Order: sequence, then structure tokens, then C-alpha cells
Amino acid sequence: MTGNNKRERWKTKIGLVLAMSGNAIGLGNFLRFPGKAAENGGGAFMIPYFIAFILMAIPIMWLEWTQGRFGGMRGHGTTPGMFQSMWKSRVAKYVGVIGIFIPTVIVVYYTYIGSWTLGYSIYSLLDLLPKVDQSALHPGMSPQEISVFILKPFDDFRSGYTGIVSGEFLKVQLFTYFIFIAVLILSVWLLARGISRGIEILAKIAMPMLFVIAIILVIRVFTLGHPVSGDYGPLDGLAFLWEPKWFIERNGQQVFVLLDPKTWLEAAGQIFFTLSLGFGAIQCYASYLYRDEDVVLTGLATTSANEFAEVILGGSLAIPAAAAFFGIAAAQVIASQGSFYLGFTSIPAVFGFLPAGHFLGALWFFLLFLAALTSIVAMAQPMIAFLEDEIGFTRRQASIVLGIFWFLSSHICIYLRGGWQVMDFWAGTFGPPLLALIEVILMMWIFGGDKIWKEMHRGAALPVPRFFYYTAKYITPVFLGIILLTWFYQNIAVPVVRGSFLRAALEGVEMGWAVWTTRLFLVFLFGGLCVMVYLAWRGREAPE
Amino acid sequence: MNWQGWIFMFIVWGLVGCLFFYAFYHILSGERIRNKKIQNKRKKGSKG
Repeated sequence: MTGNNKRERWKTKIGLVLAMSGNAIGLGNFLRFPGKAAENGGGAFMIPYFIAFILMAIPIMWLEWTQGRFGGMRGHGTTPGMFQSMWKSRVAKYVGVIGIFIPTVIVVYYTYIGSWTLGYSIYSLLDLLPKVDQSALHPGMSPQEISVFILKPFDDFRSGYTGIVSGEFLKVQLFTYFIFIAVLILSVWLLARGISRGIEILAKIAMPMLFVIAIILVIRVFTLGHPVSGDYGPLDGLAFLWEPKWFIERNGQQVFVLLDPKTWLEAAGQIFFTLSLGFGAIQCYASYLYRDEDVVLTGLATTSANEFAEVILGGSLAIPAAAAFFGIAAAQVIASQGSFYLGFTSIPAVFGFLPAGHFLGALWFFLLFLAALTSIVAMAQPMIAFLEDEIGFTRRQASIVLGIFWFLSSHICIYLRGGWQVMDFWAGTFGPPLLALIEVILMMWIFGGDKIWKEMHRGAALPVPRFFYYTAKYITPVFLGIILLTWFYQNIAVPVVRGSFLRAALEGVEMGWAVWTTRLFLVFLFGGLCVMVYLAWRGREAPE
Repeated sequence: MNWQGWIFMFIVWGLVGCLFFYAFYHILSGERIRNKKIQNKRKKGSKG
């Protein structure tokens, strides 16, 4: 399909920037980043983080924007068509299936997780979250005592809300299910309204609101003073996050943090996750650009908005708040328990100690909901674009078909134990670096580095330093290759050598038929998408 | 927080903040110029 003149466009540049920022800014900015930084050397973690940002994230981001605009001008909003336009091989479009598989799988579980934030916001607003015992908290409590006497009711509440394990199933509350359905309907409705009337309007409302709420909460956190003990306050949380720890303990050994491969992998993984690189979503949004619209400055603006939300706002909320009430030792333990423990267990407890805390808690979860919702529509858009551009559906038909698939497949995440973890492992952890590596090789080596460089500069508001050309051509693929090889070594090679490959819980969940069902679902989905691509291209005279 | 922490924090915040304000300043000023051009065209059109 070429020269689709009726293709929708972004109405305003600021709307595009906010929508792209909304795609990137998600739960990871406020929950994942502080935990990862704290675990991996604090300020020292920022060195690999920013090296990965410059050598990997910025080149990939510009390449994805350029590929998206290039594909959009040829009537393709998704990677099968884009890859086929750039690589004259019959397999190109099938390789591109990865770029619709990843966002479609992510949207299935991310919508469910995102809906928790709305549910929690409502619970908090109505003051229905567990109550903290104000007299139970006193200076000098150990992390274990804080976990048992302060945080346990919140942790139990979270288990009840997200599902109690019962064999291979999860028992989920009706309210959880109802809120999920509401978020799903809202997302489908926004998608059905289209790019400028749905996604752009959402971004123009949600993104400024998100920044305002985040700033209000940051101010509240830093005006806490020393609520429990004169020995610790929010600044100690900042210190915990920013003081460089050059030597950290890993597996019982002291290691120099910058020479430990795990630190580099965590930093690169965080950069990928936070900027939604290798998800196929940036290309899809960029496909709605005009031919000569700038991608360089606009891409940089969305990246900077994401980093602002992550490093400045995200780093100043959850950890400093936890440190102010529970002290550094407990904040460290909380951070090591993962993003959900930090966001859904510790923060509601912190706000529970404050006057009008339920209102602050509602704001916190609503902030997370806005971040999640803008990412949900971004992840769903590639499938809509695929159905519209390649299959020939109207937007309304595409939204309904996707909505039905979305609703049905989400039940794997809601009711099967380990369902969303399996999806996250393959689509959210392994998929993005793989797709990014394919994209970089395709654009810089197969399509041609000079051609893509010229394409990138068409309508550009500022020239890209030549340094990034060589980086994208030589350094970025090597960086991505190392990430994938390390992933392969850790997750596939080691279990095979140990003879436990088929029994190993690759996805970090206990094996059972629920895990295998989810894996089978992913295989069928990928196969189904390949068949759809085959059918879409059948009868087209020649690859473009 | 020790001095290394403050230095790390301010360097990172400074870099991210500058990038953010630089990019958004140019985007918003470009948008303003574009809107003015559209308004001028409309004015000319209504006069003509």
C-alpha cells in the first residue's frame, strides 16, 4: 500500500511531543528507576545509565522516528510494511512481525497492571485502604519490624487486590475486574476516536496534569521535614539514591560497580524500558508525521521529557518518601523488594501517616494511572495501524477487533498464575533489544547509513552531530549484541548446560501448566500475525 | 548527602533540565511562529 493520502496526521507539534512523551513515560519512571538506581550503586549507576543513553538510546530513538516517518509516507504504520519498504527481501515483512507482536503482548498485561493504579486511586480517595497505626512507628525500628508492623496490612491488601494464588489460578476481586474492564473500554474508545481526536487530546490533558501532580507530590515529600526521627528525612533518601557507591555486594562478594556486567545490563535495560525503544510504538506514532516534519528536535524533546520525569521527578518521590518515614536501612530493603512493593505497599503506608494522606495517596495512584494510560494507547496503536493499513479495516472496525482480542487475552493475565510475568519476560525484556538490533542493522547496513542519515535530516530543526552516525553504525549494534548474548547466556545457555532448560522457570515464576498455556498463547499469537502478514501481502504485485 | 552525591545529582539534573528546556523552548517557539503565520494568512485572506 503506497501513498495513502487519507492517512491521519498529528494536529499540532506539541500534541505529538506530548503523545510521544506519554508513550515513553510509564510506571517504570516512577517505580522501576528509583529501585534500579538504588540497587546498582546510586550515583555510580548514573554513569552506565548515561553512557547507554548516549550510545544506544539516542541513536535508536532517532532511527525509529525516521523509520516511522519513512514508512508513514508509504502508507505503513507498522514494522512489517516499514521493513519491507527498506529491505527488498521476502522475509523482511515477517521479521517486522516482531514489531507488532511486542506492543500487542505488552498492552495485554500492561492494561491490567495499569488498571490497578486506577483502582488504588479510587480506594485511596474513598479512604478505604488499610489504616496505619500511628503509634506503631517509632525511631530505631528495624526493617523487619517495619515490614511486619507497618507494611504488612498494605502488602496483604495488594495480594488481595491483584489476586491470591490458588493452584494454577488467581482469585481476583470483582472490583479489580470491573476497574480493568473500565480501563479497557476507555482505551478502546480513545483509540477509536483516532490520532488527533483521541490520542492527541488525551496527551494534551494527561501529560501536563501528570507533571503538575508529580511536582505537587515532590514538594509535599520535601516538606516532610523529619517526621519520625531527627536522624533521617527525605534528603537522606536522595543521598541513598545519588551518593555513588563504587563497591556493592553481589552474591556475597564486594564488586566494583562499574566493572560488574550486571550494572551495565540493568542500566541498558532501564533505558530501553523507559524510552519504549524497540517496542514498535515510536515508529507507529511517527508514521502520522508529515513528510518534511522535523524528527530530530521533536525526538529529543520527547526523550528529555521522559528523562525529566524519570531522573528528576521519579527519583524524588518514592525513595525519599520511604526514607523520611522508615529510615535508610528500611528504604533499602523496600527498594530491593521491587517496584510494586515500593509503589503499592510502601507509599500508601507513608501517606497514611500524613494529614489528608488518603487524598495524597489518590493523587499518587492517579499520577501512575495517567502514566500508564498514555502508554497503553501507544502500545495498542500499532495493531490498530496494522489492521487499518495492511488489512484494510476502518478505524472503528480495527478498534472493535483489537478490543475483543484484548479483552479475551487479558484473562490469561488476570486469572492464570504467572501469566503476565511470562508475557513480560518475552515481550518486555527479550523482545525490545532484539527488535532494536534488527532495526539498527536494517537501517544502517541494509538500507544504507547515508540514505537514512539524509532521510533523518529532512526538515530537521537542528543537525545531528556526525558522532551519532558512527555510533549508530558501529557502537549501538555491538552494545545491543552484548546485551542479547548476555541474556542468552544467562537465561538459555546456563539452564541447558545444567540440564534444567525445560524445567527451569525462565520467567521467574514457578512452572506449571499456566506458564505453558501462556507460552503457547504467545506462539499462536506470533504465528497468527505471520499468517495475517502473508494474507495482507498476497496479491500485491511486488515488494515496494 | 556527601559532596559526591550533590555533584552527581546536580550534574545529572542540570544535563536533563537543560536538554528539556532547550528542546521545549524551540518546539514551543516554533509552534508560536507557525500559529502567527497561519493567523497572518487568515487575516490577508479575509482582507483580500
